[in-house]
Amino acid sequence: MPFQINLVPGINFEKLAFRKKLFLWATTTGKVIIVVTELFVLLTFVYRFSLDKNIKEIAEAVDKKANFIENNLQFVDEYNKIQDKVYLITQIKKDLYNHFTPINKIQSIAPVGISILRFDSQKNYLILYAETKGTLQFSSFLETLMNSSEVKRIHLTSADFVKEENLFKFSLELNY
Amino acid sequence: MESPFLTRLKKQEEYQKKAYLMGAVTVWALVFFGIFVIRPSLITATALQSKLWYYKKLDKSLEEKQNAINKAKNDYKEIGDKISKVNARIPDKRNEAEFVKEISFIATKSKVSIATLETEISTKPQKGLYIYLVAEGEKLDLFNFIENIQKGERLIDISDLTLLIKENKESELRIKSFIYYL
Repeated sequence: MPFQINLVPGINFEKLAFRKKLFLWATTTGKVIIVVTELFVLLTFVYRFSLDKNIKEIAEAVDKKANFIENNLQFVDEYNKIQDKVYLITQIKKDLYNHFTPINKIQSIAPVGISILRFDSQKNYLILYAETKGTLQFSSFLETLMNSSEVKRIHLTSADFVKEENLFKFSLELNY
Repeated sequence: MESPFLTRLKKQEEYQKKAYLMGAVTVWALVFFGIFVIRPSLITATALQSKLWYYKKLDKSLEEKQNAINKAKNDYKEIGDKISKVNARIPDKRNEAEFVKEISFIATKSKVSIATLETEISTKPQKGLYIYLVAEGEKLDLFNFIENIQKGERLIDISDLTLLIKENKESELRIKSFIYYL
């Protein structure tokens, strides 16, 4: 058996006072925990500084942009109004009906002898009241209307022959 | 003299006690530091991080809005001359007086006379005025009048139109229409 000398006296843990036990812990496992905790706190501290700096910078940028937007609120309102108007004009123009064109066209295609007395024009349809002395003119007028590509439907709403006046009065409803 | 077995047993017991105590103190230390040191630090860091994310999101949306305003300003400059036309087509206010003036001008230009001109404020959600107009004149002049009011500055939506044609007399034109304002 080799000869051994132990200069450090053996520690009997059970016999140590609580304070010494705690000291023993603090110099072993506790040391690691405390150092790790300190490191964590330190890192958080540094991270917090970096976050604070970023937040400050971004808050300044946000303030600047908010001020810019606030200063331009009047312009934005004006611009939005113009946009709404342009949109409304576009929508209205889609439904806008040109009463003049069909009336003018019917006037121009009506043969001599047909007297148009009245036009009632609404969107997409037109009622015309007319009179003629001869049925030939009426049939010719009707034929021209039937051959027109724009007229989708012709409805003879009334036809009245007055013998005393020798007049054939009629009304037509034209759908476009 | 103690037996070696008893000595070993005592040493093991002592070692166990030491390990339990060390373990207990370690757990306590971890809980203590966790609650009083790590948790507040984490809460602060998380709160700041959330704040930063919020600001970044806000900054992004404000940036988009700022860019949109700048783009709108450029567009506005480009279409500057057309804006007055848009405002004339649909003005901000009712401007009946202006409209009557314009209609009278068109009537004079088309050689027709206005017999009646009535306005009625719309009860629809769409802001506007109903216009009931009766004009008299020669047939062809009335045709010109219809054409000219449709080409006028203010947008006019004619819904009903009646034209009474009288040969060798003044014909009559009745119009029901709607003008807008916004």
